[in-house]
Amino acid sequence: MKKSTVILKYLPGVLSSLLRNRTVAVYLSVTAFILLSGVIVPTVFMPSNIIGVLRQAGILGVVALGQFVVIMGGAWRRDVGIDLSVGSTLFMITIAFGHIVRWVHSDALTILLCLLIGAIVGFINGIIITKGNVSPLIATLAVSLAEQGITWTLSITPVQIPEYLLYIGSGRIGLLPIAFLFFLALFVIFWVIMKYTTYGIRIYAKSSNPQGARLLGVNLALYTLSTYIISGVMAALGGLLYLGFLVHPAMRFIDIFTFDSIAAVLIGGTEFVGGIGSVLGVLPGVVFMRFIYYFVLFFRVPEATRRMMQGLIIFIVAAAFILQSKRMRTS
Amino acid sequence: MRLPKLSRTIIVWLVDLAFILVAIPIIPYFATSANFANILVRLLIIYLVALAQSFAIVVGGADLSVGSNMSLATAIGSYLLIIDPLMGFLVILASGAILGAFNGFGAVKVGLHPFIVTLCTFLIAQGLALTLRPRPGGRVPEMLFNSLYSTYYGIPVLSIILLILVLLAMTFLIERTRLGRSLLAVGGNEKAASDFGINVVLVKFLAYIIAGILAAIAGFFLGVRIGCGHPYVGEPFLLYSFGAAVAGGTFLTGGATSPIGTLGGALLFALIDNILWLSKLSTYHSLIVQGIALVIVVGISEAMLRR
Repeated sequence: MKKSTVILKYLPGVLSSLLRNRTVAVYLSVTAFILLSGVIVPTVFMPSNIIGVLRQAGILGVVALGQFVVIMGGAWRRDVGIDLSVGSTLFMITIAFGHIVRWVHSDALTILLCLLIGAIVGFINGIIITKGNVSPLIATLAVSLAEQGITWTLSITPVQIPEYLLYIGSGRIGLLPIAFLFFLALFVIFWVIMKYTTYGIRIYAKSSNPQGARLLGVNLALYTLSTYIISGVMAALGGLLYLGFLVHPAMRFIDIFTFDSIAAVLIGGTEFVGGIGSVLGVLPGVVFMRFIYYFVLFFRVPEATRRMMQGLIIFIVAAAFILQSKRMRTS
Repeated sequence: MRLPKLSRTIIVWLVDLAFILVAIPIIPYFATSANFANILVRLLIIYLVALAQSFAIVVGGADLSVGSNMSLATAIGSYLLIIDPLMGFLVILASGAILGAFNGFGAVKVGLHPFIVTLCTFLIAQGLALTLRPRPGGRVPEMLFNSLYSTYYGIPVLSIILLILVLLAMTFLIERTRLGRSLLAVGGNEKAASDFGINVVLVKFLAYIIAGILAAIAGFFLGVRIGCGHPYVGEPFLLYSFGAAVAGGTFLTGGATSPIGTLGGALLFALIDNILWLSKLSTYHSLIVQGIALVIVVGISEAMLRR
């Protein structure tokens, strides 16, 4: 009896402070959007659709975790951190895998080499940015061009994709695709790293006050470099997952990863400056970005109209979220 | 703020000069009148879209939609220019202005991150272009093409006049008008600009609209050049727009830009493009070369600035 009155007394306060939390607000608005679209088109909750959305969200999520680290800690001098090369890295890995397998004749070694390629791409990005003082936007754009050029000179080789890669990319347990569970595991790991380890805390410090962080002994160049390496490795990992999903990689590649991963991170409440944002926002961000891809498929309209619908939906939901959080801040 | 701007301009023009001096003896057909006209038309298109990008950048934003804005312009042009060139041109301007206004509305009024709102506009404009022209097609009157490429004693007069006009107009706008100074002030320090009584919201809004219109004009010339409407043709220009603007001295953090520097940056990309094309490199290899050239040029100019 008494306990319940205590709960009732504090409930509104707790609720409103919860709502004021950015991450909670993102989770709530994405959930609300998905439920609402379920009311409009009930078939979006078909099991096959849920599996599809979660699988694609998992693959995008792996890439977006790397993008998150770059947006949080990849700023250099006066330019914000951004990695525009993730989509091209992912594409390159899906094609290069077959060539490497033929060369080394070992699946495990191939996967290691693919991740190494991702790390090298990230290292090149980071070196161009920190040593050449080229702004991240330009540097990663240039690297992505070069990667596309390299990928297109490779040919597609027929290749036996290892069982476990197929399992991770295409398999599922009940309604949960393995790719999504794989992402969730990495998601927890990244959350712990960013929140509780020295590395993560220093990245946040660098983001909110670079000069202060430098004076406290954070090697800015090294930490900036590290974020691009992480992003490169995650993009390569995303490429391996995507390969496990595609099975037969194609040269016709539409980059649905680079800008979507950035949008997912930004929708998740992370900002380019000021150490604002959390890994936790990546999950609703990627689910939202992939949900709309599948959602617009339910309207029997041409691809052109679907693209416009995607644009408008992202705009409306992001705007609703911004306006909502503005109102919360002022009230 | 002004000193690095000036020297960045000089650096980029010096690099351009070096490119030209090296290319003349090495690349066959480089120093011909026909190729001269080719480079200038390419330059005009890249310059316009780079200016568009620099207006978005200067107020602290970025415009991912310039490429599909251009594609949409070619799609519209492929229907209307054949009926009435002036009317077609005006409709293209209007479409650019509307896309720009949408960007401005999202970024300034709603407060979305420029990346998100211009990504939405990118998708919407792409969808519109695909609706109008699912496949490349349509026609643009040859008269426009011929006058753009017409030469007088071997000199492509019209494109030179257009380039000079754009350069003068933009320099005047940035250096001599209230709007131009307000743009730089808002991009440099929004709070201070607001304290000085500048209407920050209006200025940023106008910057996005100008960006949309300039990108649409670039799309108009691109449509004239390729002679049809194409739903994807504008996409590579997103890269050129960032590269030319930044190489020409526009700070990605906002607050500084230079129309003459941007012209130098645009010329750099027109030259790289042209040289790669003349040297018959495959598209794949030229992508690699472009990426490397971009890094080297921006890196060199950064290093020279810091000396």
